[in-house]
Amino acid sequence: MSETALIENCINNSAVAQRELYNRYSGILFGICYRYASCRQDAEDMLQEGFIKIFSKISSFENKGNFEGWMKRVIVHTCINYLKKNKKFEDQVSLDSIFNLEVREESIASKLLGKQVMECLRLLPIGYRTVINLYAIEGYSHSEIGEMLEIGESTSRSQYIRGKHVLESILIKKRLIKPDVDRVEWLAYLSN
Amino acid sequence: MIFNKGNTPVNFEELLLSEASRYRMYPSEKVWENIRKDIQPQTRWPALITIFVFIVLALTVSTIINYPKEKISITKTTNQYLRVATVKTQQKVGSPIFYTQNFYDKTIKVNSHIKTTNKLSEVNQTSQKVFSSVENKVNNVDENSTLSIHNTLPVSHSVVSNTNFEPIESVYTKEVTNQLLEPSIQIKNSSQFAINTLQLNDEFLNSKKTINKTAKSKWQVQYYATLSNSYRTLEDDKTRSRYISALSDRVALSKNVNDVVIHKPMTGAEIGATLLYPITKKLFIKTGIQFNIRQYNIDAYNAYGEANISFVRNNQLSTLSTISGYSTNFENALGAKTNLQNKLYEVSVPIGLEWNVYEGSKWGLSLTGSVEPTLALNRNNFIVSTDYKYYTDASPFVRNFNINTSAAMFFTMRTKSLKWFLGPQIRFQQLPTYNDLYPIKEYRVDYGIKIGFTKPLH
Repeated sequence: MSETALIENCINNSAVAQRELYNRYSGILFGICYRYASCRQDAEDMLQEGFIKIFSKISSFENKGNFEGWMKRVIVHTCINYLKKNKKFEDQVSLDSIFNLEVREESIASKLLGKQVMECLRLLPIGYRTVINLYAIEGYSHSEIGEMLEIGESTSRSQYIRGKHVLESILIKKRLIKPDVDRVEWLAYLSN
Repeated sequence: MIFNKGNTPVNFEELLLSEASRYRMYPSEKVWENIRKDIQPQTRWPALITIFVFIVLALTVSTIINYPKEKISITKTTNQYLRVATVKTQQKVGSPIFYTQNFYDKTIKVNSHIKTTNKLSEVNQTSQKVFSSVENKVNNVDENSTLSIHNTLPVSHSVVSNTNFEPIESVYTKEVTNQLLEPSIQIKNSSQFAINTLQLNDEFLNSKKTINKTAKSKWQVQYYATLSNSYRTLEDDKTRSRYISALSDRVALSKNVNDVVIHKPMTGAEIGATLLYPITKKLFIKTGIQFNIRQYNIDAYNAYGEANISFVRNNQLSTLSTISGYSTNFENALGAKTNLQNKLYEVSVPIGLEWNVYEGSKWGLSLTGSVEPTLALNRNNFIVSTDYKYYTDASPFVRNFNINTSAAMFFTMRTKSLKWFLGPQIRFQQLPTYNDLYPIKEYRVDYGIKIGFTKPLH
C-alpha cells in the first residue's frame, strides 16, 4: 500500500491501514521515544500518546512535506510534553554515578549498530539528554529548544555543550571511542 | 571534536544523527492494543450496546413469561353470617342461577365440580333469607372456566327479596347447582327472584380455605453448561501465489499450513439459558442466550522478525507487515519454546429444535439442533503470517459476527420438578474466524459434553 493510500485509509479509520501505519513506523518512532525516556515503560507511554495524536490529527496532514518527518515532530513534542507533565526534568542524576553504569544489552535490537551509543546517550541526565536529542539529532535550533523546554536560549546552548562533553567522556570511558590527540577512533562496534 | 568512524572523519553531531537514524526499537504488543482501543472505540461499543440491549430484551421477555399468574385465592375467615351476596337469578327454576356476589375482589370465572348442600332454614318473604348450611367442596379448579352450580330447586321454590340491593362492586357469575336444597323451602316467586342479601353459614367459608389456582404454562426454560474442546482446520487460499515472486514465499506456499501450525486443543465452555415452546407433544422450538469461551494453544518459539500477511484485493497484492515476537519454527527462533493461547469469547443466540425421541416415565432420549448467530467479544488472538514463518496479532482480521451450528443427543432423567439431560454435543463454526482479507481460513469445530435441566414455567 502506498503512503498516500495508507494516509487516506487511516483518515477513513480503516483498522488495517492503521495497523499497517503503526507497523511501518513504530520501530523508528519508538527509537525516538526511547532516547527521551528514562525507561522502556515511559517510552511505551510516549509512543502510545504519540500514535493516538497521529491518528487523530492525520487528517490535518495535507500531503505537503514528508509524512515521516511530520510524525517524528508529533512524537518529539509528545515526548517533551510527557517529560514536562511527569516532571522528569526534576530528576537529578549524579554525573559521577553515570560513569559506573553498565550499558544495557536488553534486547536483540542492541545488536544493531549505534545501540550502544544510544544507550550511552540515555545515561545522561535528562536535561543534557533532551537538549542533545533536540539539537544534534532532531535539528531544532537553540531558540526553538528554549521555547519548547521553557528555558533560555543560552541555557539550551550551555546545556548542550556540557552534555556533549559528558557524552564524549562516557563513550571514551566505555571504550566505544578512543581519544587520539585531535581524533577519537571507534573501537567496539566498528570491529564487528 | 573530530571522530574517526572507519576512515571517514565525522563530527559529533553527524555521528549521533547517523546512529540515531538507524536506531530501531520495537514496543510491546500491548502498546498497539491500547492505541487501538483508543482510536477505534466505535468498533467495540456497538458490540457492547448490542449485547446490553439483547440482555435487557431477554430479561424483559423472560420476566413477562415468568411472571406468576395471579393466584386466585378465596380465603374466608369468618364463622358468622358474614358474607352478603347479591344474587340475581334469571330463574326458571331448574335452570342455572346466575348471581352476583360482591365479596370477591375480582371477577372470577371458575369451573369446578361443586357439591353444594344448602339448607335454607328459613325463607322470609320480606327480606333476608338465610342459608343455614352450605357445604361447598371445590375441587379441580381450572383456569378459564366457570364455576357451575346447577340449580335443582323445585319449581315451586322461590326466594323473594326485598329492595335493598347492595351495590355490585364486582361481578361474579356462577351457575349454581343446588343439588341438596331442602324441598321445604318456601319460594314465593317461582319465575324470577333476587336475593338481596344472602347470609351464608358456610362451612367452606367457615374454614380458612384457599384455592390456589395456578396456570400451567406451555413454556419451559432450560439451563445448561457445556465443556468442549476446540479443534480447527486451516485452509489457505493460495490465489496470491500468482502475485508472489519471492522464492521464500513460494517455498512456503508449497507447504500445507496445517503441518506448519502446531495446534493443541484446550477445554472451553458454554453456559446458557433457552426457552422452549412445544410445537407438538414431542417437538419443541427453542431460543435463548449463550456465552462461549473457545480456546486452543499454538506451539511457538520466541523470536524477533517481520510477519508478513499478504492478501489480494482488487487484483493487487497488499502486504501487512508486523514485528513479531513468535516464530513457527525453531530455525527462526532466538528463544525458548512457548505457547500462544488463542482464547475467543463469544455471545450467541441459539435458535433451534428439540425432539423428544423417547420419553418414559423417568428416562428419555432427546435430539436437538440449533443455529447460533454469534458475536465475538475479543480480538487478541494470534494468526500465522502468510509466509508461515511467524505468528502475529490477529486483531485487524477478526470477524465480528459468525454463524455456528450445533447438534446434540441427550439422555434425560425426570425428577420431581426437573428434567435433567446429559449428552454429547458437536458445534461447527460456519464462517472462518477471520475476515476475507486474511487468506488462511480457520474453521473451528468443538466436541463437548452438555449437561443441564429443563423445567416448566409457571
